[in-house]
Amino acid sequence: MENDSPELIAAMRDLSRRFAARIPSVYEESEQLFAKIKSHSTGADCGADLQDLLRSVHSLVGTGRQFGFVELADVAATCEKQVFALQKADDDDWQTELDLTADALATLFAFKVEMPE
Amino acid sequence: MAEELKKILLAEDEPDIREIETMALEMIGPFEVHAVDNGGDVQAAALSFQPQLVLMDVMMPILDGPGAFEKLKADRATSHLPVIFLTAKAMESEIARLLDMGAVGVITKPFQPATLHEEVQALWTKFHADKS
Repeated sequence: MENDSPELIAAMRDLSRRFAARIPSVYEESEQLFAKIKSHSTGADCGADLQDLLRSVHSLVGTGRQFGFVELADVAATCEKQVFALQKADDDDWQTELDLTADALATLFAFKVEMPE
Repeated sequence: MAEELKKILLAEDEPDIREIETMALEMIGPFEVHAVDNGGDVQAAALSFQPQLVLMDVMMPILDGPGAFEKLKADRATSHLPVIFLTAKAMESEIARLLDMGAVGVITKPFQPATLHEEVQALWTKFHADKS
């Protein structure tokens, strides 16, 4: 980052800390969305919640990578693919994909991020 | 020769990313940036802010980037606007899809804040070169 201005470097540092502090609330939001999704027997009735869950997990991928949380972004990317598979699942595959998504989310929620200095 | 790029409409739902993008473009560009946090606000913001270029995320609430792009293209008042997408999905198929839609370019995340303005400027110049 040798071409970065001091203001940009300071902003990146502050935003990185702010993002790290926000991660637990993103986990919580995702958990609540998944709880709502699980209450449905097919994906047809919970399209909006599925899209919100996808966007919630996706935010950890994009913002995580941007601020250097590469491991978190990788775990979130794997989870994002699984949520996408759930979104595309037909009725026959719904329960299987739901179980796989529960596992992927559990792995994500178990990932702890250290607050940057 | 391309006219000087001054005004950029930015659509990005992630607050931290939006802040660093805005800062990088305004401080280093220096461009005048108007930012919205969802794809549903892009069309109205384009009409009121009158940007020369639109820089937007792909996955956004209310209306995603491609959907917002289609709305811009469908309106004669905004159909001329060049659009650059920013996406974390660096898959070639995704990039090809966005370019096929008519996007001027795709910048993948993570981007370097210090050089974002150069990438945007280069795509702006290329857009005008391709037109002439």
